[in-house]
Amino acid sequence: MSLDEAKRILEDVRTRFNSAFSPADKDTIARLYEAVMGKRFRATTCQRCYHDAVIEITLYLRKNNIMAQEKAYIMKSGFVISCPDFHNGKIFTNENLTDEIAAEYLELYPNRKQFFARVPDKPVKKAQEPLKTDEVIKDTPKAKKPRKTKKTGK
Amino acid sequence: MPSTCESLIAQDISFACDKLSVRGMEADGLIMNRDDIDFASTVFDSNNPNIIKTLVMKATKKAYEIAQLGNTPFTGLVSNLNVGTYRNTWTHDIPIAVLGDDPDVVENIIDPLSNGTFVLILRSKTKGTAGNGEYKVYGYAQGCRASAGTNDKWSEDTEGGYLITLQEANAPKAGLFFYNTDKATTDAAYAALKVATP
Repeated sequence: MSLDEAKRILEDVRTRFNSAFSPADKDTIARLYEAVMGKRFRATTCQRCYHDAVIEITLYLRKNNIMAQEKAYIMKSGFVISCPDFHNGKIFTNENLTDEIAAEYLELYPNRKQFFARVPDKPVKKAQEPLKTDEVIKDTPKAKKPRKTKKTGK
Repeated sequence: MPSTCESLIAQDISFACDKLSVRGMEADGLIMNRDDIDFASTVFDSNNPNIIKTLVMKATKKAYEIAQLGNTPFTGLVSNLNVGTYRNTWTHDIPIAVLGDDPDVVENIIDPLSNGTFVLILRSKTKGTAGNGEYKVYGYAQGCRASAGTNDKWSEDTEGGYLITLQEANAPKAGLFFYNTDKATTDAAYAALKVATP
């Protein structure tokens, strides 16, 4: 779904905002939410959760004006990463799994590929980590202090 | 694979004061279309074949939530032993109240429940050790199918809605549990079942 298409659908849905949404509208909002926000819409028993979703999408697009980036790796529904030897046992779900983490996990445990619904043909390479601040200072030959500028009074 | 299946008791029949069995079920659970489950990816606990560690759905599929009301949710949930000619089995009956009766409810819930085959994960009030007894799985072996259904428009219990009983007949095990590593991981896996992959 393109950004323009998302905005068009959003505007259409918003025309019916002051009444109860039909089942078709609810499906549309759930799909729109997923496409724009990059995460699944979870309908709760809350009476206004679809209205809240429309507000959330509106604010997100107004602020960011971009669609969520599509993930290269997606785990199958029900699978979570929870391994004592991987990131100190931190639990990863599709909500917090990045492509870099997924690639790292599958490099260590290639037989777990069966638990992924989407895996790219070529593994996503880990983004180069920025140097830490103290390393920058240590590696810089001579860190010059900034010159104080004299006020000229002009 | 052994040519015979041994049935030998391996624990005292006693009770532990710190983890007594508690009657009843929590008010929510999950129901999955059996065809949507990726059975090939299921992982059982290597130490206990009655524990499913990993249960995943096929791509684009998800589990649906069941919410029940009242002080005794899933009231009537019962498992009975069937004495067979060569081997004994268990039949699990799971009553589900659907408090609604409109076109969407009938199309999306009642009609599929009437003829489909399902797997359910329900939350027991008996939590077991570190939570390993909380999530009970029904229908993994044989599938749960409707064995009874009522739509009593004057029912005070269902408020004119439906009461459907799902039954897993002749399951080889008295109980299957869903548990992975610890409570937090199991809770996360349970929650992840509710989210379909794109």
